Amino acid sequence: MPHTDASRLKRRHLLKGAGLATQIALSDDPSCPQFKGDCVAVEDALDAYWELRKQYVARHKCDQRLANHKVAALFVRTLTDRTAQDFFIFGESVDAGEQRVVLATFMFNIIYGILRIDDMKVHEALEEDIDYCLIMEFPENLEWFCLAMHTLCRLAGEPTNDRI
Amino acid sequence: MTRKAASYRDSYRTLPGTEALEHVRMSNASRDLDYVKACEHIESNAPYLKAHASRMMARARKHSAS
Repeated sequence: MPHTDASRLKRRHLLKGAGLATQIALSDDPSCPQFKGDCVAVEDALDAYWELRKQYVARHKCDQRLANHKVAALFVRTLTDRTAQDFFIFGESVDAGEQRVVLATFMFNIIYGILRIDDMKVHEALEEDIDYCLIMEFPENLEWFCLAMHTLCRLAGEPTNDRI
Repeated sequence: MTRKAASYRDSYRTLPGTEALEHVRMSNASRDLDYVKACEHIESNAPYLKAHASRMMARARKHSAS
């Protein structure tokens, strides 16, 4: 099934919203990232997400509806192979570690929106675990991360399903 | 009724807060993911996202300094 224009549009809207939120969240920070907005990286990420989603659905023999915790995990997996510079413009003094945190913030904002996190309910230890995965290393096992997203969604989010 | 042999399962405890999760079901009957609402949710919670980003950045800087 192709990635329809309408579904691509809504996913692009989400990536751009989360990217802009990242820029705003770090506007006072020395890293001060500028989100590129409409850029090749966003389109590439949408292609990669769609490819990964197809593979995931085929491997797990699930129907085309995916629970939102899985969608969040797939988006993060898609972005973890990319660099912050693909999406953001930085000043010269921003090192690779700080750039990675900017990318992690971008990922977190996507999770936050997709799971509709109520931040009053977020468990601190769980948040730290997830931040570690986003900044340091994405777990080799995508299913493990899906489980972490599932837990986060059950604790602090709102379960929904993503149709195509 | 005979007591089961002791195993690691005997020490299972309910995790804190799980009772409150009983009503949550990840069934296919739940509503559709609304991307517009997801974006609105991100936009309307900028203070939290800012605090979270600062926390992450502070932790990463501390980590790289040590």
